[in-house]
Amino acid sequence: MRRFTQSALAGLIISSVATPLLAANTVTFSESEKATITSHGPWPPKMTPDPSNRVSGNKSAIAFGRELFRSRFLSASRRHSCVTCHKPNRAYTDGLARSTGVSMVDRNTISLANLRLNRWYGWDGGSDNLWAQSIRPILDPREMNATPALIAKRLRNDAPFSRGYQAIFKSSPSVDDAGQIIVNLGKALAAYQETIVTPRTAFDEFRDALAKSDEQETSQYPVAARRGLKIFIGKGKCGLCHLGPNFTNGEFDDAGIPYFKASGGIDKGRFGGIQKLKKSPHTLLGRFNDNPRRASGIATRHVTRSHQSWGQFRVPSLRNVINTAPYMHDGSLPTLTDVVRHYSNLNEERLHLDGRGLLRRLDLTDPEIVDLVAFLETL
Amino acid sequence: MQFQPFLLACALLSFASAQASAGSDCNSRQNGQQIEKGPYRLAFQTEPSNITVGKFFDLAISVCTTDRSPLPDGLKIDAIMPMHGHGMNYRPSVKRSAPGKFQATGLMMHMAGSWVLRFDVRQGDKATRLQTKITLK
Repeated sequence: MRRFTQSALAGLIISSVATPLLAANTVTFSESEKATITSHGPWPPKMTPDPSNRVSGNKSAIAFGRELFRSRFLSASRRHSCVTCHKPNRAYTDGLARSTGVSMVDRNTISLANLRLNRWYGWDGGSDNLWAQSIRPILDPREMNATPALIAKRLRNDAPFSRGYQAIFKSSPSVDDAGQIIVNLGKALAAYQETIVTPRTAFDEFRDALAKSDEQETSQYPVAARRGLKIFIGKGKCGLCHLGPNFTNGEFDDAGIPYFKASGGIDKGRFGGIQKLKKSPHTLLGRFNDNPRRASGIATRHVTRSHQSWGQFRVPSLRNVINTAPYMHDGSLPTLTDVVRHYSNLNEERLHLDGRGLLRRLDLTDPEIVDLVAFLETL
Repeated sequence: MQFQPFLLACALLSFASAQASAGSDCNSRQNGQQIEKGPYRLAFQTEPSNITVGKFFDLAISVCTTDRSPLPDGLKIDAIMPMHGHGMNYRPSVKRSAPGKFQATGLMMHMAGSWVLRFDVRQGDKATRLQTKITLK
């Protein structure tokens, strides 16, 4: 009797422990949630050539752009290249909070992947196309510190690069003016960078299996990641900004990160980005756009600057996010756990007007934070 | 004397034709949505037909009046997310293509959720706001 009672009690205890464990290991999704999850794919999406860049997708231009990207030819001192900050073995970032070329800049290096999907480039969206964004660091005194005249002179005197240029752009650097040359080099750099696409991930396998209702395949996806995904599309409301196959709406928001620069002053974020855009000769509305209809310039034509643009920064893609630490526009958060904790403990008082309506403290538990990070690591 | 009724009939026919021209589109429920406020009935269609988060779309708008008020001479369009306290990041441009007809380009809703699409119809110095809710998933 005593033995039986003990056995029954043990059974009850096992049963009461096992039930929540079983529940924790079984993550199910409603039809609405499944629709949201499948909207994050398929991956990779079809990426078409950039109509504003006549050498986009051109194999010779891609090879030439790749060579330029790795060469120190484009920096005034010949000590820096694009690879200085965008290291291929570090997901095209440098792992630093803030990057250093000629001197330290105010922002974190953004990874260069899946760029053909962007509407805006840079943390502030100061460029509306990839070739203009590729020119920017070449001319920035803190980064490569060159000028169009210097690069043109150097190109005219460099036989291999000069031949490469002429073969792709069908005109000689000795004929083209410096302004045209720097744009063409930007277009070759863009053609190369467009080829950098992140591979399929565990999430993509799960997403496709879910779309096919393949339970055996979906069961391969880690349970913690599934719980994290549930938070991502539910309680966390992360999908409001991080949507679609590239996990971004491509727009700008105030994420509650201070916008005081380490070098002093305030980083205007999107407000400053629109100012730069409106002054730039290298936009999709300008003469360097190779598409005569300027159809891709609709965002630039209609973008508007408001007080809400202050302190807003581009919503980054979450693809490959595990490999692009540190995070946020100023690189102030070293790990993904720090990022999730930031949103969980958000200081709502600090938010700008726009952010106050959008962001709320998530108040996640420690296990929820672990799960959300586990999900992000699968992207 | 016979001439006068003829002229009046012509004038009435012409007026009715103008009203019907604008009204025929703004009464149509085949495509798009219809909103009414004050003397105005406004119908709009989106191009493409479905609004997608983060994608630009255009609007074709017809406005007519339900009484003898004159047709509007101007129209402003905006959209806001009341729950989030922000609007669009883009300012649409609106062109009048014919009396009571407008074409808007450059609209983009960058987040899923509840939006309010606002039409400020202007006639002279007076503006009337017509609005409708749009939920994006």
